[in-house]
This record gives sequence, structure tokens and C-alpha cells, in this order.
Amino acid sequence: MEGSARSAPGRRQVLKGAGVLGGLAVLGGTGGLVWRARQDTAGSASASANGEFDDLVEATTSGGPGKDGIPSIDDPRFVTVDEVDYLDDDDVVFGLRYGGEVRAYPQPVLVWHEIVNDRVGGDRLVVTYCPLTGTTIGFTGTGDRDDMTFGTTGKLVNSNLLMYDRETDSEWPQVLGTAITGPLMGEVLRTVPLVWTTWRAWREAHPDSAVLSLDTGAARDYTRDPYGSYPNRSGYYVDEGTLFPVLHTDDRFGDKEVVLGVRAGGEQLAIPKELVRQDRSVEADVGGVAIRAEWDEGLATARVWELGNGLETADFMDAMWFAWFAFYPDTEVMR
Amino acid sequence: MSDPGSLARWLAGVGDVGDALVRAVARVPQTLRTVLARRPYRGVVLIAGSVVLLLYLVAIGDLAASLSGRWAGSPTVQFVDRGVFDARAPYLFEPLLALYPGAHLAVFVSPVNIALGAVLALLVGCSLAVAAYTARHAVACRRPGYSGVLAAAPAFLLGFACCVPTFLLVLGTGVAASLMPVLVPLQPVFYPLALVLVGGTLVWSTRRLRALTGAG
Repeated sequence: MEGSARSAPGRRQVLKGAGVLGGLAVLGGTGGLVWRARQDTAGSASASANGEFDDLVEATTSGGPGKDGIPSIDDPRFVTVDEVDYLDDDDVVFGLRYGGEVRAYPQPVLVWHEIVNDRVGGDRLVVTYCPLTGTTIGFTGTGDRDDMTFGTTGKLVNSNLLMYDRETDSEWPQVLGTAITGPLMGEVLRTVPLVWTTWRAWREAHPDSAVLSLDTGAARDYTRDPYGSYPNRSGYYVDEGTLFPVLHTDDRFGDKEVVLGVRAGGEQLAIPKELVRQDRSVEADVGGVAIRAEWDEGLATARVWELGNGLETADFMDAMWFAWFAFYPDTEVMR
Repeated sequence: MSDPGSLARWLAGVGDVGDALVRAVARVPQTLRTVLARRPYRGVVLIAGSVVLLLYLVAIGDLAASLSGRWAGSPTVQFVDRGVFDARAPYLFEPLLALYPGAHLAVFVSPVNIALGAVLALLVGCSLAVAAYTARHAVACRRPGYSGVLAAAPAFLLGFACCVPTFLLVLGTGVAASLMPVLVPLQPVFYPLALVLVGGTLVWSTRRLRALTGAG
């Protein structure tokens, strides 16, 4: 017989081969499902119900670390100006004046934590910083929730920190300050602006300031910034381009050029910080609200006020241009 | 494989490969006992393993050095109240202790990170020891087994991958941005993949040694 030239394979070996292939298929399939689940978790799986935030939810992407992989500071400890030996003169600090208290949050510390669940002047005040968008914002909760605390999801939207609140697990892009998923979807956080300045300028202007210490509850190398350097103007902070995709782009300014993003009357305005430095004071109308941006020579920074019955702090933030435009493509721009 | 007979033969071939793999894995301990019975090869494991472990810890940021002495004034020991298994990222865990032996060195101690690195380091060290043993004893072979050296490559690469975003930034924002969408989703499989690659290299090395020496 012709078939007898090649001996027939043993049934046992055939079954073994099938078993090996089946095992590999199961392994591959399981891996694929895990992959898919991970992708979904980062994006569309948690899409909003009414569609208002679908674009943002779809644009959510993993930044690498897991949930709380970037640990928030939940029990912040402060030291006096004289006790600070871990900052150089040119290091960036975020200055806060609130409820009669003056505090500084060093960027070399916040770059590793991004969120400080603090109490200032008797109020819960959450200081947040996203290194990838260069935005620092204080939050004091929503309308009827004034004791909210936050953690990091490990995810990004428009390259911006996506926070979650610890009560409801709703997710909040930091720049937007609005929940895009979860039970609090659509709710908006009250903001408190912080100013960017240097350690030297802040301590000279506020020698009585409290300063966030290195006793953060985590071990990190606070002498190193993983993204670059503000004092040396290097790395991600000056390179063109973003690390993660964004929904909208615009080339009127460089990606990392700093603008003062102002929100009032349901509209937005971007003012180049350099323009304020040159002109010392600029005024504009945002959503029917008169505002004034003023340069603070001592701190080498800018503040924005609403001009009504007296001066009231406006809802504003320093932001990298790409980030402001990515969230607010319809923003007015002062040039 | 147009007929059932061909398919059966192909499946049987896969079964044979599986058998050979199982046999090769089963022989690793015996081969290692033979190799590590000799003191110089234990030294290879110790030295190579230590180097790999140090490089792994550097790659994930748990070991850092500074020529400028940027940790001057830091407390020598800093304890942190964290859980042993508090994760920062897949296969990357929170340090429980920071040590600053001097102004030029910082060590962030996570037992789990050290254990994960040690497993990789041990496998690489064993691969190198087997490779060295093969080179010494397989006189008849003109190409001594340097294959074990390759075992170190995946360990290094995947160690770096544990801290994907910040490591990639060293390459510049543009390069990092182009690699990030691929590497970030793959992050959870990097460590297991490293284990498979390094383990596979060890099995291959021992199999080669047995083929060349007929013993081991």
C-alpha cells in the first residue's frame, strides 16, 4: 500500500499536539480579552450616558501607572520657610492664599504626587497639578459637597490628569473640573487659583508661608523631575509636541507656551502670559464679564481678576497652550 | 494539510515538540546541579546575577546615583507607611524605605521589586553560567555557547519598560510620543514576557550543553 511508506502518527502524539495548540489558543485568547478589557477601561467602556462627554471619554488613555499608582498626598505636612532645605532658589512653587493662610506647594514634590488633599482655612481644598499640561488648580468641591477628596486614575484625557473622587469614583479631567463619568457626571468643581513662581520669590514675598514638606507618605526621589526641568528649561516642558493624543490642536502658539486660561460667563479666553508680562495689565471681556490680568513683579507671575463691585479673583489657570485649546477649541484668544 | 493524515502528522509533530520541551525543562535542574557544583560557575551566577539585579533596580528607579551629590542633607533612613503590595504600575511596587547612604546614592527599597528583579537576575546568572560551562567543556564545538549572554538583553529591556513613560522621555518627547501608544498597553505583559524569554534562554542553553557534551 502506498500509505505504508510513511508510518502513521501515534494517536497519543496527535492528541498532545492538539492539546498544546489548544492551550496556546486559550492563553492567547485570554490575553486578548485582558488586553481588550484594559483598553475598554481606559476608554469607551465607561462612556457617559447622555453623550455630552463621549468625545472626552473616548479620548481617555492609560498613562502607564495604575489607579493611585501616582499617590496623592492625603496627610500633608508643612514646614516653615526657615526649615526648607530641599528647594533651590529657582525651583518652581505653586503659591496659595486662601482663608487667611499662605501656603507653597513645591513643583518638585507635586510632580510625583499630582494631588494634595489638604485643608486650608478650615475648608477642604484639593491642590492638583498635572505636569503634562502645566496646570495647577485648587478645588473646594461641588455645590453641595464640600469635603471631596481625590486620587489619580492613572489615565489621561487630552494629556491631562484624570482624577477620581473617592466618594463616588466619578472621573474628572483636571483642566475641565467637570465629572465626565460616574454618578456626579456633569457636576462642576469650584476652583481656587494658584500662582506659579520661584521658591526665592515666594519666600521673600511670604516669609511666613507654610511649605509642603517631603513627609508625603511615599518614598520618591524629589531631587529629580522625570519629565524635564523648569529651572533649566529642558525636556518635555520645552519640547514641541505632546506625549499622548489630544482632541484639538492649534499652531497659533507653541505647544508649551504658557497662556492664562480664563473662564467666565460660559466662555473662555486665552491670554499669553508673556503678553501680560510685557503690558503689565490687560483687560478683556469674557462671556460678558470684564476681567483684568495683572503682572505681579515681585513673584514674576500673573493673576486675573473679575471687575465688578471691587476685584474678585477670576477662574483662571496657567496652562500649556496645547492643553487649553484641546479642552476649549472655541476659546477666544488675546494676541 | 489537505487531508486528515497530513493534519494528524502535523499535530503529532507539535506533540513531539511539546515532549522535547518538557524533557528539556525537566533536565534543567540536573544540568544546573552539575554546572553549579563547580565553584567558578557559582561565582558567575553571583556576579552576573548581582549586576543584572542592580541594573534592574536602576531601570525602575529604585536605585539612583548622583555625581553632583544631590542627596546631601537627606536623612539616612526614611520609613514609609505603605503596603508591601501597593502597586505603582504593573509589576512595579511602592518602596517601603528610602536609604541615603551618602550624598551620591539613593536606594528605594521595595521587597517585591527586589524579589521580581532577583528572579530575573537568577535566571540570567544561571544562563550565563551554563554558557560559560559549555564554552569551557564543549571543546569539540568550534562555536562556544555565548548564547547565555543574550539572556541579559530581555531582562534589561523589560526592566526599562517597567517605567515606560519616564524612561521613554529620555529619548525625547517626539520619540516617546510615537512609542507610547504601543508600549503603554503592553506594559502588563513586559515582566511575564521577560521571564519567558530569559527562562527560554536557560532551557535552550542547557539543552545545547547536553547536546554538545552528552552529559551535564
